Order: sequence, then structure tokens, then C-alpha cells
Amino acid sequence: MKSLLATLALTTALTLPGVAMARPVTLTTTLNNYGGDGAYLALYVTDPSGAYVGSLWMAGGKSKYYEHLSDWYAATGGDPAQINGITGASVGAGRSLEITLDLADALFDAGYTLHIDAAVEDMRDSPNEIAVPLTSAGGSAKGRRYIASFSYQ
Amino acid sequence: MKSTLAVLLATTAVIGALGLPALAGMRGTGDASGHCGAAACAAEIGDADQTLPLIRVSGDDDDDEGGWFRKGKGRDHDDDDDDEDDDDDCDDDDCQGAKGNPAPAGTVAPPANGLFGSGKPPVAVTN
Repeated sequence: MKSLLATLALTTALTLPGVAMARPVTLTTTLNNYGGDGAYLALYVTDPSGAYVGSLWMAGGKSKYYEHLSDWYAATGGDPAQINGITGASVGAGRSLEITLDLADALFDAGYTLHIDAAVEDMRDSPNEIAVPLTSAGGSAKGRRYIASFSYQ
Repeated sequence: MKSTLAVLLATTAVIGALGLPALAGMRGTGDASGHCGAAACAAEIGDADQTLPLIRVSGDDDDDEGGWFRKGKGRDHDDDDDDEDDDDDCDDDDCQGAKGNPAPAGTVAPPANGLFGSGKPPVAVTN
């Protein structure tokens, strides 16, 4: 019985920090009906000084188009290693992309910013279309060109 | 005196040999029937040089068909663009850019960039 309690205490002690360090977040991006092909979207985070920290998601799988996500491309050089395992399909006009992930607690209320670059074939590029600070209260923003709205909670 | 006469005869013979055919050709150049216009004409010198046929070699009215400027802005320009498109025209799913396409979600673990607190890969749904 004592050993069972000891095991339970140990597993709880090991599990709790991991749970406490991550926060489940849902990112919702809704596109305008801009009348073009599917949009490429790069979601990434910068630190309080504006330096690139890492990517959260890439909508669009062909690397030859990444240069049109110009801010993200300038920060990463288009390095596919930045988005391996977090890349999906481009998002059609008028549709919504909903991403669920566990974000590190350290990112919230610490001056980090979530950015979205957008690009559509044969249309103008739209770098940094969304820029919202990461806060524990969540946030939302309207886009300029292709993104109608963005929110996270 | 004899030598002077000899020279005079020789020059007369040379002029006659070279000049007469030239004169005959000049009569055939131009407009035997009045229809050569600005085009260059060539004469076939034959036995009956009074009826030399006039052959139009070429005309120089290229501007009537558009010319260099129009051509440069027309078909040739489109061809150049097509070549540019061909350079990176690759629509196959397995086609990769210079650095290769990234691994799709679910096939490998997300990058260890410190953003994913639990290391669990994100899940995306498009509505």
C-alpha cells in the first residue's frame, strides 16, 4: 500500500509540471471572400524585442511559394525545418482554419507576439497581416487584406 | 606616233569591251513597263535585251506589318514570359522547391522551438 502511494505521488509530481507548463489554445483564422486561390498562411511568434522565436503553423505545403510570406521568410530563410510536422493545406477564400495546440506558459503576458503572414497566388502579398500580443486573456484582431478575423483563447 | 596610236586603240578596245555591256544593262534597269516603284529590280540579260523581264527582288515596306516595336510588345514578349513560367512550373505533389517541401503535420514531430509546451503536435481543421 505504501509503495502504491509512493508511486502515485511520484507520477503526480512528474506530470504536474508538464501540465502546468503548457496551455491549450485554439487559434481561429477566418478568411475574406477575396476571389482567389487558397491562401498560404504562416503563423509564428516573436519575442519582446521582435526577434523570431518559432513557427506555430504553416498553411500551404509548397516551399517555392514561401518567399511570398515575406516577413516569415526573412526571419527563417524559408528553412523547412522550421515547419516540419506543423504544415497543412492552404486555406480557401471564405473558409476558417482552426488550430488547437498546447502553447508554453512562458509565452503569455511576457511580451511575445503572434504574427500571421498571408499570400495568394497572382495577388498581392500581405506580410504581418495579423499581429496580436499573447496574453492569458486571449485576443483577437481584424486582418487587412485576406484575413477577415483572427482570435485565440 | 605609232605608239600613241597603239595606246589609243588599246584604250578604245578596253572601253568598248567593258562599257558596252554596262550600257546595255543600264537600259534594262528601272522601268521597262513603269511598275517597279521603290523596289529594287534585277535584269536578266539575254539576247533580246529590249524585253528584259523585271523581277522584284525585295520590298522595304516592313512597317506596314507592325515592325519591330509592335513585334517586341506582342508575340515575342509572351514567349519570354512562357519561358519564365516553365522554369518553376511544377505542380506535382512531390515537386519540391530549392530547399524541399516541409514534412506535413502528423508525419513527424513538431520542431523543438520551445513554443509547444507539451510537445504535442497541433491539430488543424478547415471549415
